[in-house]
Amino acid sequence: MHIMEGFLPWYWCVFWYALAIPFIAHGVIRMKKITAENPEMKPLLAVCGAFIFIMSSLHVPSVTGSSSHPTGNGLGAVFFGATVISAICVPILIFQALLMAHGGITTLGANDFSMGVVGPFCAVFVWKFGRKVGLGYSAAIFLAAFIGDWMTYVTAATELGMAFPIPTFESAWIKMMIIYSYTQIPISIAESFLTVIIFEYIQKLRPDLLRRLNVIKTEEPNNSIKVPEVN
Amino acid sequence: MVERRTTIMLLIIIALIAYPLIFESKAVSAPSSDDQGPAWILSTGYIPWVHPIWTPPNSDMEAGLFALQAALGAGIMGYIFGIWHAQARMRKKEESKEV
Repeated sequence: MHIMEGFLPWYWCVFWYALAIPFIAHGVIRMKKITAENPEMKPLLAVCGAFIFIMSSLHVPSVTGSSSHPTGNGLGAVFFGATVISAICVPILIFQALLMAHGGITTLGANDFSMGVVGPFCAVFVWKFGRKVGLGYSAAIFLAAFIGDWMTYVTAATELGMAFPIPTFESAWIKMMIIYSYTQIPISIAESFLTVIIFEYIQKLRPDLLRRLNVIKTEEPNNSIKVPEVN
Repeated sequence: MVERRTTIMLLIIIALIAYPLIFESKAVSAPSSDDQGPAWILSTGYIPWVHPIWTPPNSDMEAGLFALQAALGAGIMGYIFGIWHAQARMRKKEESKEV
């Protein structure tokens, strides 16, 4: 989903920056508030950021005959809220843009909007909806991670379709959807399974943090989770 | 039970990644989706108005930088999980002493 440097006309760069900045600003404020009120959340925040950092560095081949990379944005969005991920994605995208020419500074707003705004918001929505209809934690986080990843690529396809409506927006969008979203489906599934594993591991080690964030409830323990054995 | 479930999930992840490597060799050599998008944009006649400040001189260095990124992330996660794991074990030990 990394739109490369210079691959969006300048006015679209401005447009996506304008859309992304309020979410990033809200995320920074929220992150400061969370860490000020609960300093013990800092390691969990670091884990979520590191997970995105790892996921977005992996180029994974897809059964569709191309390759792409996961995003890892669902986990942190469910824990801390979508806008925190909007803020966390900024240094990651800058790192990749400057060191690897992967993405770009001019396209940072568009890339953050897809990976840090739309993906995480969809993930949070799916998580909340899943929990509301009675899904277990693992099933809900699986779906949230899948949608968070996949919607990131759908948004990137839409951004490019809007910027290059050749010959029409619909045809350009379908072309981009085939390139980005179709390839992403099996990768999103793999990422979702990994997210479930990480979620369950955090739930096993620090359920207190997840309870405080209202991610899990005290009265609803996950019976499949064991406390680490004492040797 | 949880170990078995985790193992199954890990096997699914490995299968999803390994399948294209073994049976879809073009997935490895074909341009990634991040490359296909820009290629299509260039085919429309668009000329990028700005270029990256620095690009890795070769694909090996690019792969190395991505590996470095993954290693940094994994180091942070491993460090924090290690601390949490040790704390959980200590808590459990103290609980068993009290009993």
